[in-house]
Amino acid sequence: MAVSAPGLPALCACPECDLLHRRVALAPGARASCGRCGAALYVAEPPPLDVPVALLLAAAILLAVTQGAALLELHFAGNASRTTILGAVIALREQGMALLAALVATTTILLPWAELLLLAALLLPLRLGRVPRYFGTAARWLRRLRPWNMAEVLLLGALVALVRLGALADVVVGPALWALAALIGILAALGSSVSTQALWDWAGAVRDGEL
Amino acid sequence: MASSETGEAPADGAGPLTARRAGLAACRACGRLAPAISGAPQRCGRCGTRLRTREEGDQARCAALLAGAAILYVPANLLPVLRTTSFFDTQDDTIMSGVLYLLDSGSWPIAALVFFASIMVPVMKLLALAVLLWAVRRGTRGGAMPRARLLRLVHVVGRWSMLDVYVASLLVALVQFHALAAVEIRPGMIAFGAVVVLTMFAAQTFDARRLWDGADSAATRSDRWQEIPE
Repeated sequence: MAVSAPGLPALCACPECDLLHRRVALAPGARASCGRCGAALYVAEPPPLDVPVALLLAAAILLAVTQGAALLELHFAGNASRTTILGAVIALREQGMALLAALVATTTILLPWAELLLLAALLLPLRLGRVPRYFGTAARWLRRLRPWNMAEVLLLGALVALVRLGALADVVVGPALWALAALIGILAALGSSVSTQALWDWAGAVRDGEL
Repeated sequence: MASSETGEAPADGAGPLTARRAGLAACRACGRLAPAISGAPQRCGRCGTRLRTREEGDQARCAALLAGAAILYVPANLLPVLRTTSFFDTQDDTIMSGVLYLLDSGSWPIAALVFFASIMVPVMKLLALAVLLWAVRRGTRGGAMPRARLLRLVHVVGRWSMLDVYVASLLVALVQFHALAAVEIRPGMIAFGAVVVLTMFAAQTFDARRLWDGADSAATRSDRWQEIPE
């Protein structure tokens, strides 16, 4: 790991309350939390890099299905309609709600792909034993974009729409809804295994030739 | 799952020793510590993020975003967000009447969920952030822990108020049967979406470390930063 001043890597500051802590050796699987505010500080060691790389591949496939396939299908008085996520965005756009269309497209299409691309741009070079020049910038953007990826809110939204329409018409759950549910699980696993600390631990290990 | 262990705080007996008091700045993006140089713009040596002991102007920016959200909160709740046209009639729904509709149709768990996400969460975010901004401004010494918990809660629940935007988008895309039945988005939904986005940005702008600064200055008078443990 890069050392800037003597003694500093042995310390860490709580990200939420700034309290300084001496780093202590942790048992495997243990996590250190702030002695004052309880925020998570660091974990013993990052998981092996192969796990998130495999998860990333699964997430990309599921995201493609989530966005390509129908989310919900409606049968009403002899008519049928179905929609994908993009279909919902287009419907908003056609009603003159360009701002809302942009909001939905950004949070459900653009940002999920951006998150996966950033993860690929960070993890794949590490897997090949290199730390790319853009590593810091990409890690920062990943952290910044994560709160805006709303896959689980979208899933709940689809379920609410299903219940609302179910009272009036026949609603069929599309394959995208199942893919979305699986994607949420994979993204949660990715989020916990690819923490900011893990990224920099891996990068440090790659630089030291240990990975 | 994992056992919890408390990190060891430096035991110098002089009250809480923060990175700032020790002349250090922790990178907000990657956590790396570096000696803080006062006056000079500084970047993290590891990831290139701007390095500051506290985010500058975060409170003012948070307050501005919050004020915008509070103003838009009024049309978001008063204006109709959806129009349902059927063979028989045309009905405009606000956020609240949408919840009541769900309650009427007998699905009270879903109604409770939408009430929580669309009504409770936005109000909670507006009030909580206002209380936190006020507390930092007054420099309150005690009660940092409940405030820190409140800010965490705002971060966790914040995104869920996007729920109604997605529900409406899907209804609009699905229910297009011309004369029989159609759903249309009304301008209230734009205001509602804006409230969600603005409050999320406001919460992300707030530098949580400020909640503890009042307690720190009260607990310690002497500057004992030389005693950082090696």
